Amino acid sequence: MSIDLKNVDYVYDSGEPFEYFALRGISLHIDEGAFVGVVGRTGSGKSTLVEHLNGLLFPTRGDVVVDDEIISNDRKVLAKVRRRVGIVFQYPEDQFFAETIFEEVAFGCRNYGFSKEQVDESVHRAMKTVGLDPDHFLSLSPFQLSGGEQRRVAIASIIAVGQKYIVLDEPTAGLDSGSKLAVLAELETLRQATHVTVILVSHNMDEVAEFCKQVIVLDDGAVAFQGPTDTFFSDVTLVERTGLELPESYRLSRALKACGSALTVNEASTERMLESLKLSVSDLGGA
Amino acid sequence: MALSRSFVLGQHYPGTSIVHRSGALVKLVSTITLMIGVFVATKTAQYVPIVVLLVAGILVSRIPLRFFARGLKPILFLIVLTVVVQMFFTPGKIIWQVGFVHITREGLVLAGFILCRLVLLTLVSVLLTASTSPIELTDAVSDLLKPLSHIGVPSAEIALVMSIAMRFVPTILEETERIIRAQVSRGARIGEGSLVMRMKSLIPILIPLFVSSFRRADDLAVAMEARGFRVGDPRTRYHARHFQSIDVFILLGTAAAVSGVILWRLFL
Amino acid sequence: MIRLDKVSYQIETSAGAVQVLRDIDLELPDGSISAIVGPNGSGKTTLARLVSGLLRPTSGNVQLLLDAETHTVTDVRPGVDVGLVFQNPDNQLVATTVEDDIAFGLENLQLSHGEMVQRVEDVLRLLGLQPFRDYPPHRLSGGQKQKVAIAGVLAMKPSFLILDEATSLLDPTNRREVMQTVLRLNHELGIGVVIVTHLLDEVLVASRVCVLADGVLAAWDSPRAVFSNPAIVKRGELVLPLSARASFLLQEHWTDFPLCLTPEEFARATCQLT
Repeated sequence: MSIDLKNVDYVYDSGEPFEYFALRGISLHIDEGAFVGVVGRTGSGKSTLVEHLNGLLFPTRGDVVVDDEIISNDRKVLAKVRRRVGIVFQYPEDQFFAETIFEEVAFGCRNYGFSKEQVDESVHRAMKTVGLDPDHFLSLSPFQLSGGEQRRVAIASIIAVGQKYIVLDEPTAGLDSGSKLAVLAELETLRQATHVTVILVSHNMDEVAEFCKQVIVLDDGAVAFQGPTDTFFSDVTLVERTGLELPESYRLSRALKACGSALTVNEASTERMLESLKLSVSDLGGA
Repeated sequence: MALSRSFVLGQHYPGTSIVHRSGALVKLVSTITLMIGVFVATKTAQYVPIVVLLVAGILVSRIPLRFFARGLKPILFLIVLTVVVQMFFTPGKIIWQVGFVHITREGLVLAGFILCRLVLLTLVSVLLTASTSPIELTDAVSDLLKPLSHIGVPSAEIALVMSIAMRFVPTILEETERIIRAQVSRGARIGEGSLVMRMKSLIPILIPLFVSSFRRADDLAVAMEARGFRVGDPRTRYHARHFQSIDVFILLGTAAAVSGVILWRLFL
Repeated sequence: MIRLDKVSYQIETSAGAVQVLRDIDLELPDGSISAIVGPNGSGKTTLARLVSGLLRPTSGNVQLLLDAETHTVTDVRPGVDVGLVFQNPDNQLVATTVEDDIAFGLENLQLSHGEMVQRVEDVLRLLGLQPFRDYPPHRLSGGQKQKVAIAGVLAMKPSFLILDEATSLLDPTNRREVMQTVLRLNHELGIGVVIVTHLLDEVLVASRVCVLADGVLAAWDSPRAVFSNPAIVKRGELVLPLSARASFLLQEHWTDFPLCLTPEEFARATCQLT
């Protein structure tokens, strides 16, 4: 099973003098169970793309296919697709409205007609997934939490429904650095445990290098690259042309090569880089 | 974007025509006077002077007619409803009848008259808001209210509050769209089902909107204070007001048109 | 120079008085760049508002030193002496156009019309905002909005500019542009800058870093000194740059290996090593 986009165009104000192609000829394939990054500079079409994945927008031309379902403006199809694809928008805590965290997280489950027991079970499971103790938190008001806790509750309120695909638009924006890593690590754990697909839209290249094995790069509404993250970041010209920056580990590895250092490092992620550096140092026979 | 785009009434259409450049206070006073004129008139024909002035204003402003048409759209339903009610339910000489449904001569005349009245009122206000920037308009309101500050009406503050409200309308509309997208993605069905269900489906939109608006208000108050604003302190004005010859023309034109209407009604 | 002398600040809550900041001593020289860092809730924003004169300390003094020889001091006036730029670009623009927003603070200063027009023109030109002068704020990008906020503050000609997490809601491109603007203003106009942030790049541009932890000053030192002290890094919950972590790793083998804060610096140091 997978999400596929086939030659998708999206045009704002189609036919009017100011018509504007937000997406042009996008063809994509996202496998079930993958952790995929979607990157691109501001205005490259990331948000428009995301809104196509659960039928908030419909392609002007082309098809968006979730599993075997072609997304269309049909109530039944939409209900089915939205049950499968969950979207965590930017600053998702701005959507809070309920009196208790329990009610907030249960909102989605109730909309999809879960039984009382199913709601209870889903809410508890979602809270544990995001690392918040249900017994302590569920009766509190979502408005009295810290920023990091609010973000986690907001993510729990999406994943409680148990979708197969979860799209997150800048899930770590505005969080302190500790919470940033923790939130993504929790999603990775969830993915490994349940085989859910995680689609991460991010401006933070360190994050993308650390967590996403595959990456989709958008530039001016078109796909500029689709494939292994490592391949993309190794192509410095492409990274620059698409207006992105290198992750810190790649920058460091490049700087080492540029000055002909005898140290070699694995650049794929921060932790792997530090480990390989340790090995490289002992190979050199440092004191 | 759909919501923020359809918001036309009260929108500015920047330009450099003499209508744009003339004083906001003058335009505001003229608009109010013209509106009084519209209400004073009792016969459709009496609108002629006002229509002449309005058409001249629209042409000179060089604002596309499309823009005025869009301004009429929100009140289209109101127009149709009143016209239909007047047409079918005014007693008088029947000129057309099917079963118990009938149209009277008087009804037709009255419907045409009310149609003119509503359209004129709308077009006059669209011309004002389209040719005047919100800040000029609020300054003008403040000027108009100024005499009342002697009896304790905070005219400057009222103007500032109006301008802040206008500044935040598009921002809050965008915010509303954002919240709707988020709740729909959580499976919310907005505006579906029975009336009670529809009302209930608005709660997950309205509460986040209130919360964020209060936060905005809080942030904004601090930001204004950080820029030296104190409630009640005197402030100078960035927009200078100077009386131009065009202003005299507009005032004279309006005065002539409205006196024409009044004289017509009194003596003809 | 702004001088903070034994500044404490407490707020009254239903649960009693809460000490937000305790005995903070700082000196911010004219034209300097400083950073304020620390975990959420450590009092960063409160400190920024105390420095700007927006809040008054419960005890201690925040003063602007006018003349070093005669020790003439005055209270800091918000806007006039210190300009503040806040986190959310949408919630600090007041007027319906860029130009009018810049004029807002000047109207509060009760400047003459001619003076206002002059100052608005000057900052529009300085920040390259002329093409946007008639734009309503909601038509601007986040970075442009923050530039307008900076322009509005700058028109009041303060001697210090405080950015309270002003780039945290922006994407990297806009963030870089705003920071470059601020650094240029510091360089060209000699305006003092205080950056409240949790972003590493922004800490590294400062000559001194104020690390807050639980309302007290844990450190007031250069970025290099702050990052080389593990105790301070831990108390301030700072994230070390990758290059610094790599440097520590190398220091286990070569004790005199320097602490490097950027990849380029690190590469250069390793080349000298081998």
